[in-house]
Amino acid sequence: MGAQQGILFHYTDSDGYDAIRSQPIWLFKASQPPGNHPIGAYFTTLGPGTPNLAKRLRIPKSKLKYVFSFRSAQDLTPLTGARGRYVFYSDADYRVEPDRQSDHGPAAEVAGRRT
Amino acid sequence: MIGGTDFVIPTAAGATGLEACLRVVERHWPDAVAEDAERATPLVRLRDLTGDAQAELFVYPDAATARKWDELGAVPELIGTMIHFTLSDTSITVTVDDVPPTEIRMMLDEMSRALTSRGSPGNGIVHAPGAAKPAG
Repeated sequence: MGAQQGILFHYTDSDGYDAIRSQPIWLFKASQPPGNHPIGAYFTTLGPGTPNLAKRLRIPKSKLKYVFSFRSAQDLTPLTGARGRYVFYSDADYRVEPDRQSDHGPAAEVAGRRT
Repeated sequence: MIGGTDFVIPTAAGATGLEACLRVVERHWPDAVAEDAERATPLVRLRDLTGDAQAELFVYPDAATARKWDELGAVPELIGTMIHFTLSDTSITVTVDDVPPTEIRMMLDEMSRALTSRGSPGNGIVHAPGAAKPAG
């Protein structure tokens, strides 16, 4: 397993945000990402407000509007290559129980609460 | 929540290997500019980049394109206009578009050959992009 430490983040758009937050146990569904990375639920250790976040994840800025954060259980796999320092995935749907949940909301608000 | 395709070129060449890759880019993009990926720093023309290579670097064909990336992130209209280099002790990861266009694929091939010609152990092998579970 990977060496992810501390807090993990999952960024999403409005629809994804509403679906995930609607349940007390957050469920991050595994899916096929663009490019040829494996099917999975993807997370990062890069928090909201990180410089160049969209470019480092190589996603549109519009996909960074909302974020979930939770405590790592050290059970995710790092992406192959150097981006595996900050990108991790589960190859199946990934559940986060309430005792691991840290925060969620618009990314700008979550960033503000972290400072 | 993740985009792009990661090509992992095994090499212990570090900053020197990155310089070889940047020379390839400059042949294709003579007005290329670079940006430290980990910090909000000003763009630097590729030819003016110092020898102290950053651990993560974005390279664009020109400054105007770099500004569009700042505004929009990875959107379809910017396909083929940014290469993301990430160094480690054992490899250079080159992150490009989900489906890299021809010019980007040509650059990847040339980078791989450039590192092979350096003769460093493990150089020149471009790993299939994607992820794999580590052993154990």
